[in-house]
Formats: sequence, structure tokens, C-alpha cells
Amino acid sequence: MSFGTADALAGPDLNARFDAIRSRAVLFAAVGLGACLLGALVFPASFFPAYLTAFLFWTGISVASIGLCFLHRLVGGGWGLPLRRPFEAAGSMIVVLAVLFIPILLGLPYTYPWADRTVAEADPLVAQKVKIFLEPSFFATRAAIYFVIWALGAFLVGSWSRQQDRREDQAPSRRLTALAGPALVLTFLSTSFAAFDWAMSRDPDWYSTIYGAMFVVGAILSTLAFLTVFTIQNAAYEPVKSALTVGRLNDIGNLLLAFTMLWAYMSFSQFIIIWMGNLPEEVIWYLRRTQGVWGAVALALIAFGFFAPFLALLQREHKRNAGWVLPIASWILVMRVVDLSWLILPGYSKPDEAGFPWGSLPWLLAALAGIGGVWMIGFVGRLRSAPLIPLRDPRILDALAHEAAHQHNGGAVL
Amino acid sequence: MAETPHDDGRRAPLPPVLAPGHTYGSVTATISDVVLARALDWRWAVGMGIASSLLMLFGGAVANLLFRGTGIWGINTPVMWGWAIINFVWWVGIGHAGTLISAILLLLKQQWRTSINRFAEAMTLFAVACAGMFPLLHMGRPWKFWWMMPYPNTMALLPQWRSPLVWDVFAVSTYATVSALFWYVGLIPDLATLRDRAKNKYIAMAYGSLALGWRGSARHWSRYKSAYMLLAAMSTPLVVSVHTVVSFDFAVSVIPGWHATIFPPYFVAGAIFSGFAMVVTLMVPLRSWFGLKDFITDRHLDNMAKIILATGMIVGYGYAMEFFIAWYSGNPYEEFLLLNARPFGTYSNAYRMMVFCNVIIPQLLWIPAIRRNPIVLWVISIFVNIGMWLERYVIVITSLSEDFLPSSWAPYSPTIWDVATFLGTLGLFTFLLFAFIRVLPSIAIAEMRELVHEKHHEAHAAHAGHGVDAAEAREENR
Repeated sequence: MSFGTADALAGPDLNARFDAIRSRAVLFAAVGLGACLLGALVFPASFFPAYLTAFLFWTGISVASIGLCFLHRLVGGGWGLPLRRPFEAAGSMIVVLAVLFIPILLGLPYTYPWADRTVAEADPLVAQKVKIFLEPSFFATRAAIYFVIWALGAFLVGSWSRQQDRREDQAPSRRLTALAGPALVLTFLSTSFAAFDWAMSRDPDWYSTIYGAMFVVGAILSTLAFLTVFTIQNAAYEPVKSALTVGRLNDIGNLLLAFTMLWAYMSFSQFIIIWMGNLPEEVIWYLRRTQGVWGAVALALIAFGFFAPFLALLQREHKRNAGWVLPIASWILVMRVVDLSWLILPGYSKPDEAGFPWGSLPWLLAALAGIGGVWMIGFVGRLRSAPLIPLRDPRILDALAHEAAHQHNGGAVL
Repeated sequence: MAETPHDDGRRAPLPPVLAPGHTYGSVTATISDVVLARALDWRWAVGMGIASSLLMLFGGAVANLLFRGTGIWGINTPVMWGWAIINFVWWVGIGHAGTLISAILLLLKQQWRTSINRFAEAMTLFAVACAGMFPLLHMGRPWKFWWMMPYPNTMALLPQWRSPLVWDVFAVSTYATVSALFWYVGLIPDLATLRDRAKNKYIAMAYGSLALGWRGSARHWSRYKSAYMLLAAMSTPLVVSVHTVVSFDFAVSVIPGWHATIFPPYFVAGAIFSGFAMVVTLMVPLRSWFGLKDFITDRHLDNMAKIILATGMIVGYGYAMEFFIAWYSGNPYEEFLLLNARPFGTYSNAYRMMVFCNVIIPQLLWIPAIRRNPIVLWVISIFVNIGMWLERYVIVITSLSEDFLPSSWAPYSPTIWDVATFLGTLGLFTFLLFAFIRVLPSIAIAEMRELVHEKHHEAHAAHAGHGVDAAEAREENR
């Protein structure tokens, strides 16, 4: 199997589909962002935590996509054939997300308890952090640094990969290989610290060393699930049809399984270490997340966030069948939103005082739709502006050669 | 085609996983001759002599311990876990590379694992045997080890299920059992090969009885393959679970420097880090002594170096997170231990040396030329072995000797018997490895024949026009 340049561009059918996605995304963006504006102005206290949750969901997908591009440069594999270009397009959306971060800075006292003067005055531990690490201008500077790192990574990985499409020699890929290792390290580190800054500091009295890694693993899971859903939905059309073979779908299913397990492993490790240590300053985080409705959410995360996809993905037949992978990946995506809400929304409170933030839920949906709409418009636009398969990427050629020698790609999934 | 990549001058071509020109017969002969035909090598004899001497030292150290008790070690109150636990964690960690190579890389279809898996599995078994010695001896009365098992007894006592030390008993014993089974099942076809090639009747009988009547029929192979894949799938979670439980031994307590949520993944990465370092330490000299460079090529060293670099970075990430969170948390005990006692306190030399060996030295592996230079790589692997031992030293000793109340602090220093016991297990490990090399095929013969077959297959596919460019590009750009 080999592709010519024209084969790898979206055909008329797929372009029509992309147009449909785009017009739906415009609608989502307009309605969602309109609702967000209303929420921010009228109900800021319940709006901003919800906006943060949705922002972290989409940012996680973009940042993890950048990281996965670098990772694929290093390790290769057939799963990159249908996913590399979507990763690159998703990564480039980090620029849009940098703009969408501005509302968080504007609503800082509503988003983060430590930015609220009364909280810092009441809690000396919080006051101490606000003095240095969580000092608002330092917080904003760090955010700017993260966005610069990510945007630079997304730019290089995207433009060098596209240069490779037009060239016979492999100079752009070589440059990317040289960059990939250090860039992966830098992306992982910056994302960990972004997780401390943006997510963990919602509970400014609490800390956990695994939090950054756990957040990254969750973001990778969201990314794989989201782009799997997107790719399967377009798998009836060329060139996605030829790219998404049964063998590669199986690989993607294995990745979903592996990251579901890794997410559960890290979450469970954090839980058991804190539960057995039973120190008041640490268990408070779980108390806030296990009282009342949050307790039911926590149990649902165990049953439906881990066991359901885990058991479904154990079957080889399921991973080789798009009719299974599509609902499983969609389900994982839903549970990713639930998990992020469970991490972010309870926030800093006395466990018995704070009820379930019902008021935040409509804003969560509005923000997911609004940010997601803008994100999708840019994503689809970026994706269709280049061949959907990185034609001359050596990693991709490598995977194709391997499959040609062993004949185990299993044909198209749809 | 696939084996002779051309070079465009900018990057050295990657060495193959199997040197060119090998056939089924040459592979079988080269590997089995190490066991059946080669004369006694003086280097092997010297190594075995040193190993046996150290093993006798181990016997002496254990005998003294049994007569006089654990007081002969440097342990005290509050440092009740001294070298014994350090050595236990170090040895268990080393074993993990073997399981990763044999199970996970098999499931990931990584061809390059083929020639090193048998050896790495043997290393796992022997390392676990050495590791197991320490908790047993640390009990003081090892003959009562079965008290740790939940068995119906007259006092109606069960072990404390909430203690990770009890989980350890199950984790490590399961690990040892599954690793031994996996290793033995993988050996069966090769034992049959040795049976068939042995000239001496009694040697043939010995291998024959171990080969369980293997005749190489299609049915045998089919069952063997499914058993092997099942054992690989069973071993995979063990790569993670054993060292996770070991990390819980520390992390579920509330001792500063131990109670960190990053411990499970950081311990697992550290285990693989030290394990691959040990594989490199052993492989580099052995492949040259026994003429196995065609099978354990520079490609293997390169790949192992990359894994050492990657896991070393994760370990470094663990250190960084501990350091940062200790500062961020505002917890005075964590802050004292991680920002003051470890880098500047009594044991600061060990801490600094640890960072140097585990974080700084492995950065050299970014350079491809270093990854493919066996001697430099070997030296780096020694640094990592030392660094990972020091990591456990730093964790165990600094946290215990200076915890919450300065009035209960006490310094720790090992005695000659700590050193003797540790050197003794090094002797035990080396003794078992040297014996293994001379008695069993240290590279999986059957799997190597399969690799020869696959290489023919790939070359054929490339010649037949199935993506010729792709095959070239692939070798060129790894």
C-alpha cells in the first residue's frame, strides 16, 4: 500500500463532511460562548470553575497531542498513520487556547480560592503560598511561559512535518527526530507544572507529588479517545479509510486500554497512600470529593471510568471492530469530563459545608461547547489544509514496510 | 536490502538485530556450543572463583547472623531498616528489566528482545533470590518465615492485611513463581536441542528429562506458543505490581521523605532503570567472552541505552517533584528533610552522588556515539547501579534517622557484617549466573531461529517490490 499526494488529501465526500462539522462547530461556538459571557457577568462564582474545567479538557487534548507527536517521532508504530495529522492539527489549537485562557486571568478570584483575599487572610498556609508561588503576576508569567513552549512545539512539529510532504530527502524529519527527545521532556515538565498551577491549586491547602503525572496521563487518554472517535467517524471516506485498518484500530484500542489502566493506577496509588497515611492536611482533598453527590461521582469513576472501558477493551474482538471502539472511546471521553469535574469543581471548602455545585453544570456544558466549537473550527481547518497522511514521514514508511512484510493490517474497518 | 542500509553521510547506519549471514544451523551451533563444546575459559574460571569465594563469605555472614542475631548489623532505633532493606529493594528492582524484556517487549512485538530475553530472565530469577534473602534474614529467625502466611493456627492469628509488608510476601513470591515458570517454559525447546546435540549419554539424559519429552511436533509448538503468550500476559502486571508494593512499604507510612504519592510510578521506573543497567553491565563482557556479538549486537546496546535514558529521566522527574512539592506544601517536616537534611545534612554525600549517578551521568546517553560504544556504556551502567543503590540508601537512612523529633534522632553506620552480607549476595548472584551460562543456553535458540526466518521473510518482501523504498527508509531513519 502506498499513497500519492492527491490520494492523501481529503476527497469531496470528506470535504463535505468537514464542512458539516464546521457549520455545526460555528453554531456551538456562538451559542456556547454567548452563554459563557452571560455566565461570567451574571453568575461568576458558579461560572468560572466550570469554565476552568472545560478549558482544561480542551487544553489537555492540545498539549497531549503535541507530546504524542514527539513520542511517535521517537517510537514509531502503525497507529500514527491515521492519527499523526489529527495530532498535529489538535496541537496547533494551543494558540486559540492561549487566548481562551484570558478569561481565567480576568476572573481569577472566582476561579481560584487563593486569589480571594478573604481566603488568604483566614488561612496562613494559603497566605504563605500567595506570597511567592501563587502570586498572581508570577502565576500569569508561568502560564505565558507554558503557552510559549507549547506553541513553539506545535509550530515546529506541524511545519516540519508538512515540509516533509513536499521533499524527497528527509532533512525535516531528521530535525524533528533531534528535537523530539528534549521537546518531550520539556512538554511533560511544563504540563506537570501547569497541572499544579491550574488544577491542583484549586485546593491551595493540599499537595500531591503524583498530581502532574496523573493529569498528563488523563490528558493523553482524552486525546486518544477524542481523536479515535473523530477518525472512526470519518473512516468511511478516503484517505482515512485506507489509513485506519483493523490492525491499526487494534493498536489504538490497546493504547486506550493502556492509558485507562495507567490513569487508574495513578489515581489509585494517590488514594491508597493518602488514605493509609490518614493525615488531616491530605485527606481533606478526598473528603471534599466523597461527601454527598461527589461520593456517588467518585464511585461512578471507579465503575464506569475504569472497569467499564477496561473490561470492554480486554476483548481482542472489540478492539478490532469499529462498532465497539467508537462507543467505548466516546464513553471514555464522557468519563474524562466527569473526572476533570471531580478534580476541579469541589475546590477549597469545608467538606460538610459545600453542597454539590449544581449551578455550575449548565456553565460546564456551555463552556465545553463554546471552547470546543472554536477549537473544532480551527482543528478541521488546519487538518484539511494538508494531506491527511504524512506521506513521506519515515516513521510512517517504517510501519508500512513492516505491515507489507507481515501482511497483518487486516483491511479497512468500515 | 533491509540489512544493508545505505548511508547518506549524515547519520551512521543502525546495526542490525542479527549479524548478516546466519542460518538456522549456525545460530544453533554457536549458542549450544557455549554449553556443550567449548573448553573451560580461564576468564569464566576466574569469575567463578571470585563468585564462589564471595558465596562462602555469604555463608559465613549468615551463620554469624543466625548465632548472634541482627544486632551484628548497624541497625538501631530509629534506623530499624538498614542495609538489609536497601539491598532488598535494589535486588528486586534489578529483576524488573528481565520481566520487562521477556513479557512486555514480547507483547509489543519488539524483535530485538529475542537474543537477550533468556539471559535477562535468568538475571531476574537470581536477583529475586538475592532479594528474598534480606527480608528473611532481617526477621532474625528466618526459620519462622511461614508466620507471614495466612494459615489456620491455634492462636487464630492472621497477618496484618493492611500492612504492605504482607502484600510484599505475596507480590514477591508470585513474582518469583511466575518468572521461574516463564523461564522454564521458554527453555523447553532449547533443552530438547541440547539433548539432541549432546554427545555424552548422561548429559543427553539430563537434558532429555528436563525437556519433558519435547519432539517439536506442530501440536507441541502450538501449545508451547499459547502457554508462552499466556505467561507473558501474566507477567506483564507483575512488572508494575511488585515494585508498586515495594514503594508502598515506604509511602503509606507518614515518615517525611517516604510519604509521597509519586512513589509507585517512580519506583517502577527506577526498577527498570537499574535492571537495564545491570543487563548492560553483564552483557557487555559476556558477549565478547563467549563470541556472541553477532546476536547481541550494538543495536541491542543502543536500545537498552535508550531505555536507561528514558527511565532515568522519569527517576529524575520523581526527584524534582519531591523537591518542588516539599517546598510548595509548606509542610515543615518534608521541607526540612528534602530541602535541608538530604542535600546538606549528615548523608549529603550519598544524596549528591545519587543525583550525579542517576540524573547527570545518564544524560550522556543522548549522544548516539556513546550509546553504541560498549565500553563507555558499560561504565555508565556501573554508575547507574551504584546510583540506584544510593537512592535506596538515601530513602531508608535519611528519613529514619532524622524524622520528627530531634530528641529521637540517631545516626546510622553499617558494620562489617552488613558489607559482608551484601557482598555475599553479589557472590550468590554471580555464582548462579556463571553456572547458568555453562549449563543452559543463555540465548533462546528456538527464538533466534525464528528471527532468522523473519529476516529472510522481510528481505524477500522487500525484494518482491513491497515498498522497497519503505524498507530502506526504515533502516535509515530509526
